[in-house]
Amino acid sequence: MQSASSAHQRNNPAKKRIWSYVLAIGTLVMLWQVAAWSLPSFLLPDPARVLRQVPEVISTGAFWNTLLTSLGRLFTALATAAALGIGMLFLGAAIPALRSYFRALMALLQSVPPIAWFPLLLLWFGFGALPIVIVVTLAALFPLAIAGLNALEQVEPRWLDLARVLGAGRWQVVQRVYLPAALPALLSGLEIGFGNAWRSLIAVEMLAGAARGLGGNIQLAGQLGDMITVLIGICVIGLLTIALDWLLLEPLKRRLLAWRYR
Amino acid sequence: MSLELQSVGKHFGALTALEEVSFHCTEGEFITVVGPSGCGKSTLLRLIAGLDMPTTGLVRFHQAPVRQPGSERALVLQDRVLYPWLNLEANVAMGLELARKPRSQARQEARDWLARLGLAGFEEYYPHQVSGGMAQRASLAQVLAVQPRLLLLDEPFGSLDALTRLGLQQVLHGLWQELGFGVVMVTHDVDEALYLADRVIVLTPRPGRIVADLPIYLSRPRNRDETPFITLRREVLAWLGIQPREGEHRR
Repeated sequence: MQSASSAHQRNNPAKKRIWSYVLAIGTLVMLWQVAAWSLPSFLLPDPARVLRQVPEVISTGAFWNTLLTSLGRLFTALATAAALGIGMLFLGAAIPALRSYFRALMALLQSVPPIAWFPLLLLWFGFGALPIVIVVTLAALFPLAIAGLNALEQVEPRWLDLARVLGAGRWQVVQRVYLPAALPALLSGLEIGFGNAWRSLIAVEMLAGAARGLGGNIQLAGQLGDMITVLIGICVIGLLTIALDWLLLEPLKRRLLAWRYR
Repeated sequence: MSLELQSVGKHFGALTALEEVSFHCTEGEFITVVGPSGCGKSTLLRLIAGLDMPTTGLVRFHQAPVRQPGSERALVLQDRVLYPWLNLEANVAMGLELARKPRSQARQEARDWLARLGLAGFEEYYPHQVSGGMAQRASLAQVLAVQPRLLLLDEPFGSLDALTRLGLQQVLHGLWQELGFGVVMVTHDVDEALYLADRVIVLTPRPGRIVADLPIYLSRPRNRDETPFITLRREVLAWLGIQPREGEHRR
């Protein structure tokens, strides 16, 4: 079988990527150390000192609460964005006029950084999870929807012809040709949307002073001059992004786009 | 009368692709259409398939005017048209699943069709993992699975190497004799047309018009180097405006 050899070929780039990440993290920690030597420790504590604090911080319930709060908001927003994006794709695939309308709408809305809506949302919905989740949903939705809608334009006419020849009705063409054909682009859009959502989440949590979550924690610690907590927060965000990408997005891609990896 | 074209014409803006094309064929008849590139052969098939509407004239299939595509008139294109995200089995099962056959039954029928076209053991392969000839076999299986009464073939073997092409011509010939569907096949390969057809229709380029409609009374299976075959080849080439030199074999 050829699958054994291709599996082997797949592992190599993955291994290379791990080493690149190790190297990149090493470089950043070194830069941090160099900077820490030249700055007083209340401005920038060195890596070793921060590391020593880590066990104490992560053993508290508050830390995990904060983390789960943020992740909960992130995934609520991602799921909402995915549902809206797929809904738009479904309608856009069935009705070509709607497709260009949705694209115009998304392009217009995308030009505004989602966080700019926050003051408005705060007035409408108050200090709670809702305005945060809405901002993060918008951040994830635009790249997702635009990538998907663009992919609809790229669907090969012969695939559509073939489906019609085989007897497909309009909705069957949408479901069996447009959606699978747009799926790779949709997943790339989801990847970008995920990055956008994560960044917006931290930013909006920092903005919404009273809100908990990773961003709120960093903001509060900064105001108290607790640079160790700030730095731990930054590290957690960075590592979590990589972990989510590897544990969630990559396997999802491999599962849904299995044919591409054969 | 199974298929009937009445003064069919097709214009694309100022360009006239087809003009005054009329012919009919009986149930189970094998028709090949030959002509130089740009004579509207593919357009002709798309009109019969119902993917495009004629500008003038009418296409009828079993009396009813053709208004939309349907699996009783199934079209196979030259290039790889299998869905790249489906394996061969799922590709062949597609038409059956669109007709809402139960999944397990559709899959079983798909496997049977693949086996029939010599692709047993390749069910799990994706189109990009198999050769062009195998992909074209799977395309045939995909379309035959919906049991069309008329098979429309647009240069189906045009992008294959010569040996693979000969093999697939035989496969197609066997299936046609066994299953009794009609065929309208467009090709630029005169030998292929003569090897397979009950009738060869010759089109002129721009606008495509019928210049000859030749019944082929050779017994089957045919032999490409017998005298009557060679005589017919000369005749078709003459209709196409090509003078073959003595001893020269096309392809």
